[in-house]
This record gives sequence, C-alpha cells and structure tokens, in this order.
Amino acid sequence: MLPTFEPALLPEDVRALRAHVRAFLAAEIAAGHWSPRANSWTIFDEGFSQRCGAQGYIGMTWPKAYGGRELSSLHRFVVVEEMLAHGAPVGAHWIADRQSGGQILNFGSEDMRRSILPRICTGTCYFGIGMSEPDVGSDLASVKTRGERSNRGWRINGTKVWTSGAHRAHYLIALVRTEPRGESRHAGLTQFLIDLSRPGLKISPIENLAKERDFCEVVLEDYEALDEEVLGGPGQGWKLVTHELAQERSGPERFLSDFNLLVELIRRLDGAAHARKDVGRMVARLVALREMSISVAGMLARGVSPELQAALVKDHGMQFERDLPEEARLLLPLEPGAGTADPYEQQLARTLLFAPSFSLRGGTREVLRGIITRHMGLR
Amino acid sequence: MNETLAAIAETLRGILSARCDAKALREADGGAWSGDLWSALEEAGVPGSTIAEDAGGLGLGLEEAVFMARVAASHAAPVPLAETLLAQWLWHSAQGAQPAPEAPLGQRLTMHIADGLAPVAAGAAISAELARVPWARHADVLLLVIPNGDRCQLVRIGLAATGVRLTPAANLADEPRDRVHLTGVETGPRDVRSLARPAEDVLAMMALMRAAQMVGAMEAAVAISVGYANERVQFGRPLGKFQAIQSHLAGMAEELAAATVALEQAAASIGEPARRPLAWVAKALASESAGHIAAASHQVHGAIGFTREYRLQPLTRRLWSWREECGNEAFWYDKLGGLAMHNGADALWPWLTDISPSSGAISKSATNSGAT
Repeated sequence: MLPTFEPALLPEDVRALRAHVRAFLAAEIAAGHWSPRANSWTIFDEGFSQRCGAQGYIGMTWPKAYGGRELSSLHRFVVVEEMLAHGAPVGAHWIADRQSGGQILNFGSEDMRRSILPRICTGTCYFGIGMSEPDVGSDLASVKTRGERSNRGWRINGTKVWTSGAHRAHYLIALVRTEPRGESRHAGLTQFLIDLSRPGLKISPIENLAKERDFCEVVLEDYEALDEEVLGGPGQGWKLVTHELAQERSGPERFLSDFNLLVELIRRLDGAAHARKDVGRMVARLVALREMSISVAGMLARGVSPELQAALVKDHGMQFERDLPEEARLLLPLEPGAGTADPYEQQLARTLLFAPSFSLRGGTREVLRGIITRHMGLR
Repeated sequence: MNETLAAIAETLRGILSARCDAKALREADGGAWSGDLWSALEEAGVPGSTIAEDAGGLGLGLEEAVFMARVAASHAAPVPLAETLLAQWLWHSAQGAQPAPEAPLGQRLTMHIADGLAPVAAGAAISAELARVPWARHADVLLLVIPNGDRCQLVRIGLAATGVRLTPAANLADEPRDRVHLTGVETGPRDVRSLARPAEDVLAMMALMRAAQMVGAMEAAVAISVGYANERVQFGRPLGKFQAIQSHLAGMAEELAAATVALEQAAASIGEPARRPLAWVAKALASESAGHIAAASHQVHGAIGFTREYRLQPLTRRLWSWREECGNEAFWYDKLGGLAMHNGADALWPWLTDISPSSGAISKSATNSGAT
C-alpha cells in the first residue's frame, strides 16, 4: 500500500562526469557568462544551451545515431542536478531535453527523429509544452483544441496557454482532441508535433507577476499538421501525455529550484548561532528529498514507471521550495525589492515572486495529492 | 527489501500480531512485563540476533537491527527490543580486557550514556544517578556508556546487583523510563570494555533506533487511518471520498516516505563515520513527522481515535514519547545546521552529493562530521 523507494547506486563513472560538469560550470561563472540564480530552469539563454550541447550535456540518454551518448538516466540526473544546484540558465533546452525529445524518440517518425534530435543535442532546437488551455488546467482530458481530418493530414484549431518559451521555441507538442468525447474521457486524444515556423499560429507572450515574459498563449487557426507529425498514432494521446508527465514530475527541479537561495542565505548568516536549527531543518529535508529523487531516477532507469513516487517527490519537494524563502525571511529580515546587487537579496526577491508557480507547474498540489491517495488504497 | 530482511519481517510479524493485542498492551501500560512476547522473541532468536556468531548469536548488523525495531514498533511491542539489539551489537564490537571466553552481556538489556561520569578502572565501584533509563525495571543488565575522548567505555551493570535501586517512572506511552540509583556498585574486569567510537556516535545510533521505531509506528498509524477513511461513512460517503481527508492522508504519506528514506539511507551507511550525519537527519525528520502524522491520524479518526480502547493511541502516545528521546528534532537540526554553516555556503552542495550512499564510497574532500 505504501510506496517503497528502492535505494539507487549512481554508476561509478558518474564521479568523473560530475567533476566535468562542475569544472564547466565554474568556468562559465568565472567567465561572467551568467551568475547563479534561483529558478534557473526558466531562464532562456541560447548561448549557454549551445555550450552545453558542445559538452554533450543534452540528450545524453538518446542513441548516438541521433546525437545522444547512450548514457543512463542516472547520468542525466547528475548533469541536471549540477546545473540546477549552480543556478545555471538551462531554460532554452530544458523542455526538449527533459520530455519532448524523449517523446519524439519513443513515439515519433524516423524522419522526425533524424531531423530534430541532433539539433536538440547541440542546444539549438527548443520545445514548448502544449497541454494546458484557457479553460483546461488540471482537468487535462477536457482539452478543447480540435484536430479534424484534412486532405493533407489534420487541421487543428484551438488555444494552448502557459506554454513556456513558445515565442522563442521551434516546436511544441500539443495534446489535441481528434474524436468527440465518448464514454472514456481519455480516448480520442492525440499528440501532434507543432512546427512553430508555420502559418496558422498566433503566439503571444503573457507577462507573469515577476514581470517576465516567459509563458505564452498559442492560438492555432487552421494549422495544418501532416500525418507523420502525429506522435504514437491517433487516439494515443492520453497514454503519451501520462508518460510525459512522469518524466516531468520526478526530477531534481522539483526541490532544487531555489537551492541557490539556501546557499546565499548560509553565506550571509556567516555562522549566526540563532539560525542553526532552521538551516539544519532545510538541509535535512534536502538530504531526504534528493535521495527520494535519486530512487525515482533509478526506477526510471530500470524501466519502471513510478507514478506514485514521482507524485510524492514533487508534492513534497515543492513544499520545501515554498518553505525555504519563508524561513529565510525570518532568519535574515530585510525588505526585498529591486535594485540590489546583493546575491542573497536578489535570490530572496526572485524566489518569493516565483513561489506561487512551484505548486502549480507540472501538476497542482491538489491533483498530485489525488494521485497519491488513489495509490494508497483509498476506495 | 533483501531476503534476510523479508524473512525477519515475516518471523517478527507472526510473533507480534498474536501477542500485541489491545489486552496485552493495556496490561503492559499497567506495568506488567510482557513475558510471553519476550519468550516468543527469544525462542526465535530475535533479541540475541546481533550477538556475534562466534559468541552464539546470528551476527546480524545494525541495518537489520534498525529494521527489527521498526517492525516491532509498528505493533507497539512493549519490550526493550531496540535497546537489547543495539546494546548487544555494541558490546560485541568492543574490546574486552580478557578476550575469550566470551562473557554474555545479558538477556534483557537497557543502555544509558552517562555524560557526567569519568572513565572507571576495571574493578572500580560506581556511584551515579541515572534518569529515564528505558525498561530498567524489566531488564537484567544495564550497559553504561561512559565518554572517553574519541572512544567510550562500556560498563556492564547487573541490575540485580547490590547497590542498585530503581525509582519507577514512565514516558507518555507508559513505557518504563526509570531512575536508576547506583551506590558503590562493583564491577569486575570482564564488565568493562572499550569501544572505538566516541559517545556522540553511540547517541546517534540510539537516536537511529528511535527513528526506526517512529517510522514503524507511523507506518501503522497511516495504514489504520487509510482503513478507517475507507470504512467510516459520513454525509453518505466514505471519509476517503472527501478531498480534505485525502489531503491529510497524502501529506502523511509524504512525510512518512521522507522519514523512511532518511532512515534507510542512515541504516545502510551506519558503518561509515563520514556519513554519521545521516543518522541525525533520520532522527530529526522522524521526530518532526511524528507530531504531524499523529495529529493528522487523530484528525482523520475523529472522536473514536481519542478513546483508550481504539488501537491508534498506543502508536501516537509512543510517537509523542520517542520524538523527545535521544534528542528531538530541535537538537539534531541544530547540530546539522551547525555543521552546514561551519562547512560554509559553497561546501553545501558537494556535501549533499557526497553524504548520499548513492555516491558509493565517500571521497576525501567531503564531510567534516566532527564539526559543530
């Protein structure tokens, strides 16, 4: 009834890989390319993504024939957690590396694999997520974007929203209803590769409360998709989206988003005795969360799909991410705002503004808790 | 779970489920010794399982001991199993003045770290006042741990010896936590051993055993709560159909999962001094979760959970007791935070990656566990 988190052992050669990534990141920071920031996986930096690609840090688990390195998902885990822990701007290639590339590899056509995956690996091809809609958030099976047969393939109409980076990305993978909703809510849905350079699209950035223009509305008006741009076959959309969400929910970005704030907090505290207990509490929670996340990565590497464990890690991890700025502001009181050069003050302000998104993106707390209780044996 | 642990769990559950019912627990609350239960455990070789094989035990390690303590606590077993398993293991890992033949330590053991005592010469008489010694009135031997720099002395004290007097006391779960008065208690050369670990390590191991017990009790509390949410109908639906109740249960599952992972990674690396802080993490997280999970379990149960008769209270009263014993979360968080701040901001991430057993053998750069 209760989930087990089998311990995973990182492969021996991960040590060298980790050292390689740390040296790369230290050189990046020393060169002044960027400075570490909290929530860095939404920061779009094409130059950085290309340099990551040159190091072989993107699409690492994919076949060499498509530009990958055929390493395990535990190798990828290590690269990703190092990037996040160092506050590196991985936003441009993030979605493609984490989920879209895998969807194409597993469910796309051979042409699609050959034309797209190598470009993802070089850090030059970026993706957005086409799941949510204006009227459809958590209740994903109710998507209203419709795909109808046309003489060339499919004609798609509808609106996707909260699509991070769509105005700078090359593709998105969209969940579309291709048959009327029948008895099963999950039938009749199809995933399409959408080429953002084609006509029939209107992409409008939406300013978030932190005044950044990161996520977008994407309106599809008679967008023409080819038959070979269907992923996994018509009607397979729900199965594919579930697979995609498992990749999306268990990674280290679900508890490391504001790790950089903890680092700067400890630096500013300078050993202050009053903070020991609260700092220790944050560190203890991180120790456990990281081990849980590694365990999930180990299960994914063995081909197990740990839906429950992934939901547990995400919900518990984002609670940690939300608690961290709240603890920090009590330990080092200040009035957060713009115009400071102090790294701690910057990270605190940034984290406070982004914190509301932590328990929404990738599945709301309420949806995740529903998944958890369903697995716990509640009838 | 490996095969050894699975076999242990099956044996233990068979013994415990028949002997830890409401009546047995109520009698133990009243001060009775659970002799039937202990005899059954002894017949199965459980309390002596951490004795070295050449001394007649099974030679099981602390990882197995942690697991046995967890399973026993999930049944609220009113016996000093955690104390006995740890004390046996420590005694048999320590060096005696006269090696063979092995002197048995005892059958029902308790232990206590005597911070105020100076190391004793073998044969010396000991006088001390020891507060809150677990199970002392039912134990035959007390293993006294006396700090001695980066080592500690283990002193075997027969609780029936001349000069030993007890004043009964108990924790919130009615488990004995007696005051032990030692007045000129004599020790022989075979009663003193030297352990090549600091007393701080022994405290961390005792804390880990309590963490194991809390994880066991929390597992049972969560399972009972899920069962009740499925059975109890209000407003025409089982409680478990209400999103507010689901949220309580999911939150419990999350905290339990984190505490369990923390326990298991600490137990798996108990032999590595550089990873000792994992035991601090385990006790701290279990102690904090114990309060949350006890509260949420009672909330799900409503008034029935507040009765003496219902089977939730033996678990929650233990959780409220054990979270304070061997250092509560404030104590261990403070120690861990002190270590993290001593190591410095830029050392935090390398420390986090090195401390995890998933990294394999620990690298030299890491983990100054002696700080604070």
